[in-house]
Amino acid sequence: MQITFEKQTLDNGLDVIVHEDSSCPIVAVNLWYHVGSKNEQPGRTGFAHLFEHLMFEGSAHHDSGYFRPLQEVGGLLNGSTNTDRTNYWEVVPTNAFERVLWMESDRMGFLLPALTQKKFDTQREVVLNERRQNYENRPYGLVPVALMASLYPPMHPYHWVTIGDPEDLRASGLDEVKEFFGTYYHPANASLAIAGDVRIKDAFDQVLRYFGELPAGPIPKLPKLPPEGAAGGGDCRLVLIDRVELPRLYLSWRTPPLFASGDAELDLLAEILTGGKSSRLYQALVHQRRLATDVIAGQNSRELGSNFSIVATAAPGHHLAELEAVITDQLGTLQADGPTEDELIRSCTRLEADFVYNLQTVGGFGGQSDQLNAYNVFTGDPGYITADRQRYASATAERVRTVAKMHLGGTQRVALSVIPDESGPDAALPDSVTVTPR
Amino acid sequence: MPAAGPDSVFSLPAFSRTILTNGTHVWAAENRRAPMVTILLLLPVGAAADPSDSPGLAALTADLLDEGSNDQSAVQIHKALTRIGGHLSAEVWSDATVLGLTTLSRHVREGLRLLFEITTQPRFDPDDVARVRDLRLNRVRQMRRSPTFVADRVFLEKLYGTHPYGHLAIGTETALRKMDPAAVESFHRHWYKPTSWTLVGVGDVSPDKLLSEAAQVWDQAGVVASEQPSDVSVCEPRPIQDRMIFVGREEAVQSEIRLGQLAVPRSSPDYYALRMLNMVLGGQFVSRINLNLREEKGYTYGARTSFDWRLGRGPFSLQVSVQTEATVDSIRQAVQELTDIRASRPPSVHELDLARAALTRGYPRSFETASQIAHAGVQLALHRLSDDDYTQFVPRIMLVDADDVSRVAVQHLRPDSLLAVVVGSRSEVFEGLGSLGFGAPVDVTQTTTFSEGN
Repeated sequence: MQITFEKQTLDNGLDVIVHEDSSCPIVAVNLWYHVGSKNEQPGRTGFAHLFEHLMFEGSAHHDSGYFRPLQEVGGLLNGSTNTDRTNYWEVVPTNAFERVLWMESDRMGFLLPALTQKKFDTQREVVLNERRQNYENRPYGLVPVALMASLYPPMHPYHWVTIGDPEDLRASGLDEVKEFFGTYYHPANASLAIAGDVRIKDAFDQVLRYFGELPAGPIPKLPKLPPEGAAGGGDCRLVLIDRVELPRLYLSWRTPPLFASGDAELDLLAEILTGGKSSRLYQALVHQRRLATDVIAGQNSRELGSNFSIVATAAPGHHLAELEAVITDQLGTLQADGPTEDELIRSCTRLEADFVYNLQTVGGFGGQSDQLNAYNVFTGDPGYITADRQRYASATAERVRTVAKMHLGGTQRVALSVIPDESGPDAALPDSVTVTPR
Repeated sequence: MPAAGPDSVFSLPAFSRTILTNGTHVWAAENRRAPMVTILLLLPVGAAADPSDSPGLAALTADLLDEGSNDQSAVQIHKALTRIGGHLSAEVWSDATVLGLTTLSRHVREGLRLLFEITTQPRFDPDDVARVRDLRLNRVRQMRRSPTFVADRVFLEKLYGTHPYGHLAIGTETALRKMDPAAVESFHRHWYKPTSWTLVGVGDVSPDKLLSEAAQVWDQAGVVASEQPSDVSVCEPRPIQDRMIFVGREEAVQSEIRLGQLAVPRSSPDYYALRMLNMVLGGQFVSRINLNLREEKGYTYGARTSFDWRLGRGPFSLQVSVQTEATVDSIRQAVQELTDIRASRPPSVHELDLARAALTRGYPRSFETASQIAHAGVQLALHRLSDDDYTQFVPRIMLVDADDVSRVAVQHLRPDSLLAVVVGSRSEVFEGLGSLGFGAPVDVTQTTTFSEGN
């Protein structure tokens, strides 16, 4: 599959990528700023995401909510922040393309004059409620906080979760917003992808018109990773007591970054382990022996380093140690013998189908414009799709085996048991240390 | 700020149709955006067809279809599925079961064949029935701890009572425990009939090819008269007695809130005016309830309202999670919004323009991908809408004026008889709930979350 495009870089450093497709009278605009929670400091976690909220509260030439002018023209829009980047996107009817450029360029260039203490305070409350809703008030909700904190040392940019710590959010101030904006929110740190019912030349002309005058800032360096001792092996066992009905086990390892060697093999491994009902762990844990109610594995690929996780929920009457034993056994078999050719082919086909499915749409999260930006920001080449697919097409069973052995055997593993408040500490894996993320 | 240019003319891709000799309706449309095909099978039988003592049976049956057929074991079926990069899905709504298979377009014939096998020849082996039943049982059990699930479930139960719409498709623990292969077989035999269903295929294949492939695979099994599920529009739920229902969740940092009432069926002539009303009230970010509770007050990450359009009278509800200390004020604000929009503050010209623009200008976006178009086909079939229903949507919305919206607000919103469900911290919230005009709050915690019987 291909996404044809043309790319230009403006004098101020803004990368502009355009893909033409007039089969539906809509245009997707997608803007990435290369900043995420990895750029934060301990004590000020959650800031990048809070900042994203502020971007919707008005700018100098439109000092009111960002949503209205775009919903007025029939647009759909949203944004998100993760560890590595912040993206903003709109999908509008063809005739509203110019308005989107106006709105995005105004907040890129002129956000600060519209920023007030009241907006800042209100959005902080909104974010605190987002944290309550998605993390604090749901079963297993705080697991990511504990998991990331134990996988990565305190000064590592991935140690904290993107939503941040409530105390840090409460301690942050409006003047810090200004510094953040100046450092990260400018054309040289941004990538703009446009896909849909546009003409390429017209799109570039319009972008130049709206964004060309905005000044560049210095390109931020990637955060320095703290020195870490020689990677030791062993198990870091933790237990979290939560308001849940069934115990759940989270096993996690640190693995190679997005697009690095081994990343694709680990995607395939996850598919072999838990992709569909014929997969190894589904069969072993859920189908045949009914030890678990569910199991899911995943290579969570990120810019500075990924993590591979296997998560399984114990069926009533079964202990997490039983699940752990089966998982370790199945992993061991794969590390010794590798997957079969049939498993490899099926996993590749599944991943190909997923990929194609996500790229049906020009816009939104994971659509064509978002994917073009991901390739551009992380590799410098919006056309990386060919190389990306090739990583999977050229994977071999032996490579999957050696990657599994190298990264999931012998390196440190975090094993987090989440157990119901009514059960005793014995419900966790033996020798687990209690953690209390808030 | 640039004005938007003139709206472009939009037409939905047309469905080619045929009816097979066994009664199956087949629809096909083309979408060349990606090399894949989405195939959906609509069976107009859903959770509302669950026997009254067996809530969850329709969904259990749907979940068992891929657990082995006459010819193949579950593992064989799933290997065949992964070989074609296929994804299988089964959704059970109140009025329908929708089975789906999405695959790479080069494998469309095998996809059709697999879906046919899964739908018509499930094995329902006793071990598999027990295993899948237990998996669903455990899921329901886990959801006792989810404030969202608890709020949704209690809301439906209290709003509908014993009416067929009064339960979530997954059912209850009591009912699931009793389900056995005989019950599942009986449900499948009774309801899964070719004359009832519509097969919709959309993707990177020509409609003619899709129709002929479907005919080759699906035109089997004799024609059998099919029974219709009981008419959900005929039975009316009883009026509600207790209007403020509380479920305790100790030390909850947020309260999960549902406020709502019965609304009207999809077939109501007020459908278009109510779509407009909902947009103004809580149907998108810029709406009264969201701007109030989130943007003005910071009480929540987001608040919304929705009408659930069903064959019978579906629910209207306002849904929001708010920080615990804002619970009482949030409900007060929400009720005020529902009151004002039908009295002192009807929708303004600007609000109506915004609602209209969102519904009309945003319309083409909903028909971009094969999956979206296939789901649109399912809606046409389920609600027996005319072929041009989607093409007529925008003109019909344009005909709705301020008086229409005001009229339906007055007629269909009844703030004085709303049902409220609150899942939150008893010590911090319960007493205050009595001051909101809903009558004395009723605490149903014990019968809802912790009882083995539920």
